[in-house]
Amino acid sequence: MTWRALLREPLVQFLVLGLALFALHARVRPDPDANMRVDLARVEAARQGLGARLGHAPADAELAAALREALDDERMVREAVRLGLDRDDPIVRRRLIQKLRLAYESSADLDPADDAALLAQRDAEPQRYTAPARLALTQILAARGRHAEPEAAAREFARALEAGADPAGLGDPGPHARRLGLRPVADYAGMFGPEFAAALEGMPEGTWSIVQSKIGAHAVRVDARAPAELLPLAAARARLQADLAERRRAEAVRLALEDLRRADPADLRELPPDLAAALREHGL
Amino acid sequence: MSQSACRPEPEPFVDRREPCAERNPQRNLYFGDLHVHTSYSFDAWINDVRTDPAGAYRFARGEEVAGLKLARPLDFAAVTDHSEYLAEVEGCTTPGSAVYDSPRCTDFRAGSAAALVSFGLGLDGDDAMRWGDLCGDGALDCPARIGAVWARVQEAAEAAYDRSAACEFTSFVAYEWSGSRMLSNLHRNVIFRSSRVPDLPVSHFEAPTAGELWQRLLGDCRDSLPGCEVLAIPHNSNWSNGNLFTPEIPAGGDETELAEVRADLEPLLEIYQHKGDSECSPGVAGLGPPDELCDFEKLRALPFDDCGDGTGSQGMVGRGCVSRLDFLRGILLAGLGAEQRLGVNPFRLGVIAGTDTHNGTPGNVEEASYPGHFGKRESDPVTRLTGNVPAGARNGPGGLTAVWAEENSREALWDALRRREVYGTSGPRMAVRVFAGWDLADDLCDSGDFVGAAEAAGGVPMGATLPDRTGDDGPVIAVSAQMDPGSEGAPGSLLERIQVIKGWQDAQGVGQITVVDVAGGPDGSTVDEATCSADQRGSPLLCGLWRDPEFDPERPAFYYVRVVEDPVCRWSWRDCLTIAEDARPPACSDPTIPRTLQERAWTSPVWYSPGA
Repeated sequence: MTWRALLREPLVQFLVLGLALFALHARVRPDPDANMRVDLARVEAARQGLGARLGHAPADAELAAALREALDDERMVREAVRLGLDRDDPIVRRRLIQKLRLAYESSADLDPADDAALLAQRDAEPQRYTAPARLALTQILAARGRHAEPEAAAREFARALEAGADPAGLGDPGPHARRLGLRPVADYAGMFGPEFAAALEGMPEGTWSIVQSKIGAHAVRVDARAPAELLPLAAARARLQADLAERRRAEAVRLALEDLRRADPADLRELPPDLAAALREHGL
Repeated sequence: MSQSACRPEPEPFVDRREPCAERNPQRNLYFGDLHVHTSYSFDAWINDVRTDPAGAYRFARGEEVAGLKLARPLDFAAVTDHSEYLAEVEGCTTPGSAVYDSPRCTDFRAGSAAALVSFGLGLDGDDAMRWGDLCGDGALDCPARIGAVWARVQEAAEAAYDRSAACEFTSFVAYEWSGSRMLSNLHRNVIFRSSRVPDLPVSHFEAPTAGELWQRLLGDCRDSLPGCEVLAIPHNSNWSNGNLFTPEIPAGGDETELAEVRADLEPLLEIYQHKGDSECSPGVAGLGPPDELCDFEKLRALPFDDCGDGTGSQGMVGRGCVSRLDFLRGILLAGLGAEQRLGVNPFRLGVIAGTDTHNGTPGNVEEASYPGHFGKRESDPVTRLTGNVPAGARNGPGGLTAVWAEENSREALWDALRRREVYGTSGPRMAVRVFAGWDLADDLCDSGDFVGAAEAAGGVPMGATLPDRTGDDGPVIAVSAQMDPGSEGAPGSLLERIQVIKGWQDAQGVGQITVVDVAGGPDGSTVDEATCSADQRGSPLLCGLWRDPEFDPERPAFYYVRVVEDPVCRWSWRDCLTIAEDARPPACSDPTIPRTLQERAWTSPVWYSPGA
């Protein structure tokens, strides 16, 4: 087995992740005594900071006051934690969760994935890496407010068009081009609204139909359709790499959470046994 | 001949990509946001925003990010994080870095208002320097850190860019240069045409003035990196006390040369975003006759001093005088004056709008779901209505940039930005098309193909300069505007009117403005302020045609268009309605904060130049 293949083994990945998290914890865990320690470097840093703020070299009393303020902060934090005040504070909890989540995410392997992994990702979620179906159409508008009965006006346009009239001479003067090339249905929703886009589904090609929208009634002819296409690797590569990196980060958080759940299970003793069992089965 | 006239056109395509399957010579309309901050910006991170550039692009493409999702994805976006402090933010937030435990970084991570102010003030002034405790000896290798962060910015843009033939989404590699002086805003967003970009972004620390920024953009990009093209977009002139558009001529500098460089690199102005509107304003002389529609999303409420011909300071904290050069109309008029004097117009500016979101949420512009400007600092109705950074209840959700381009690719969109065939909206996606010409038919708005007929008659689009005059009449401005059709659950608003705003210099060289309704008009629409339900009586489609009756072929002029929707409730009043009446903050009863607003679009002008 090659090193590369070995590294793809789930058990090996699990162990590597565990080691990475261990190293990370060692790195980010604060030294419990550091904040109460006053050494020469700290005094000097405080002296410089105060000097910049005050505009003169601080007197000993000013220096002591600044250090005392920082030490008092630490004393109060320690006491607050000892009293459990951090546990019911939503902002503190959010910041702690955020920091831990970032720590887990940063333990993920973010080396570029190889082509096989990228293709596997693409094929696992083909709809995400598929260019949508597109259609080309011509539309002539009878706007609300410009016609007593927009739908009747649009039908009249359609009759004239079927009889060979030039689309350029008919309809209301809208800002969009009359003939639109192969574009996703979502683009037509953006141009004329969701009702218009919904009506395009299943519309026959080559004949004029009437479509209602918020803007009015449209005589519409579908000129061409193109099916949805799975993107080739070259076109989707950058997005696949980014998505895989994102997923690895999410996976790192998930695995770490699984560990935490095992280490710190929910206390369900006060629930009826059948409810507790049902909840446990779905994971808590 | 101007430098821009000498400059060869950029290569059509400098990035390898599949050609778009659809290319429309009559141009499609694309909506996007070119002003977006993420966790890489110091003032976003400090407010608990953790959405990074990749997340912002996912949001723009319609994915749910941090609990928010766009009802309609965008067609394009540019993440424009502040180029200043990229290294410092990275270092301060990376455990184990050389500066992680420094007092400044500890303060930064604590997210205090004092730290936000300290980082903000650290940017101000021509002498601003990187802090030695973060970037000096023994601290961070800041250039290397900036390079690493800049690489990630580029990777995020690359991953979001659709290089397939479907051409569904375009990202731009970009950043914000965040210069200011005496707290007068001078910020610019720098947008690259392709993935060929310099190794490092330019920050205010290395380029303290706009002139130095332009020289760096020319030197690092256009003149030394084949295929690199760039433009810079100023924004929030309303915060600048007249400084953003008062030309600075360095000692020994040539004003004409500087004007040419500026005209070349800065073809656009972002006139609307979270921090208000910069089209025009009551209380400032030189912006035309009284125009009640100018009283729209103003960051500064009267009374304030008019700068007159001078400049002021402290605009970024809502102080100092307000200048006609803080607003599009005054700036465009000044450009006409410069053209007469120098032979080049440095302010031939197209118009765009953006969000300036600091939540990593490009295009999140709905009034009904505005989440605030600054992360957790404005995450509920009361904090939004009582905030003061930057302007609390006077902020808004910001707007969008609309681009008429042949296809949705970087090059096609960027080229449209460069030729100014673009417009800004205060959020809605109304479609607005402008053509100007000498021979446009009087019946262009009666019926038929507006675009085809205007092009066939030699009409030029918004952003262009009128061609040589034919005949003896003034130019015709033709406008077709279609309402935003809305999305599921969020219907668009009907259109109230189309206006043409003309600016020109009279025979005495004094700038003049006239505003003309060319389609629609006040229509009796109302909003029930108890429920925010609206009775709208406007039109889904308006078309207007106006021939300038007082045209003087000897004097330069510009014509831009404003399209105004029927009124709806403003976000602030919607927030007020969610709070018990006796618990509402003062903003809910402040008469200078309106309860309703009329969303709108502003187009790039068309110019007439006697020497063109």
